[in-house]
Amino acid sequence: MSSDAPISALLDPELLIERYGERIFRLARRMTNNDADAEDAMQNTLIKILKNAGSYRGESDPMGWIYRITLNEAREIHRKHKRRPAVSLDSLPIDFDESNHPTGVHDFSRRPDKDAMAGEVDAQIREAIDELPDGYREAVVLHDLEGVPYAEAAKLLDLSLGGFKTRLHRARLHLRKRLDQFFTAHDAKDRS
Amino acid sequence: MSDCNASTCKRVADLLLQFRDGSLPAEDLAFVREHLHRCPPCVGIFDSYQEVIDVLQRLQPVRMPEGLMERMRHKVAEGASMDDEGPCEDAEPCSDEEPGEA
Ligand SMILES: [Zn+2]
Repeated sequence: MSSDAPISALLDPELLIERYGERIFRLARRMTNNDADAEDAMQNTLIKILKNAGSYRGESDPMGWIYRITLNEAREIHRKHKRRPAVSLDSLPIDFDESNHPTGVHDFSRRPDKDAMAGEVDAQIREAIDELPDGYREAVVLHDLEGVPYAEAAKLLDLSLGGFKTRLHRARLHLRKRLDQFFTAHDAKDRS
Repeated sequence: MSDCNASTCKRVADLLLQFRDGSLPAEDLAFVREHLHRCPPCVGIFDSYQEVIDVLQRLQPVRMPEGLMERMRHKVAEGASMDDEGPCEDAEPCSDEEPGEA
């Protein structure tokens, strides 16, 4: 996050949009998985920032504050327009057999058709992200998609470092499971 | 395949994030390494876990919709003129530092 941002940019709609608009939209778009919802979240975020900037007393780089508001607004809109029920990640999203080995594991990392299927894989991953519970989706989007380091992302989500890593890990394992299922179904279809 | 006891593979699965980012304490690191040497299913989990992260990092960047910033300028101007309720509660205007420090 860059730090050349005087707070005055938060009070002026032109400057605010010019300086932060793209980052706000990008985060909102990742969180909601569609343009219309991301635009609504962005609009609400901008209005909220302009309303509250006068009393902002945080760090000289307001990006953390802006990200927080964006996450709240995106979460709100995602809940309202929920397209898929959220999965439960209370336990590790891996199945184990009677001898306690992981079952149904396909290592799809070395498939020869991997590149040819990249478009479908991307779509599967987006859907799988969309069905994560809010906090898990936020962890993946912040760290794996937006490149926010662990410590900063944990702070944005009010989590300890360990708590953040646990969430991120389970979210990734859920995505792994979904891709695993996707490739299994794909291969079964090919064989029939 | 090794004769893993009831919790071995589960424990390895739990540690994969830290194994990958190099933050495991030496003892756990040796445990995971040793297990991956003799448990193909766990290697499959680890390699596909790594692949998921690669897919995430290669995911298409977000494309800005045409005219987005212009629309936002209008909408924000409308929103501002329509509204005189004062500051809203849930935006946490005063964040993590003591007042007066910034
Ligand atoms: Zn194992």
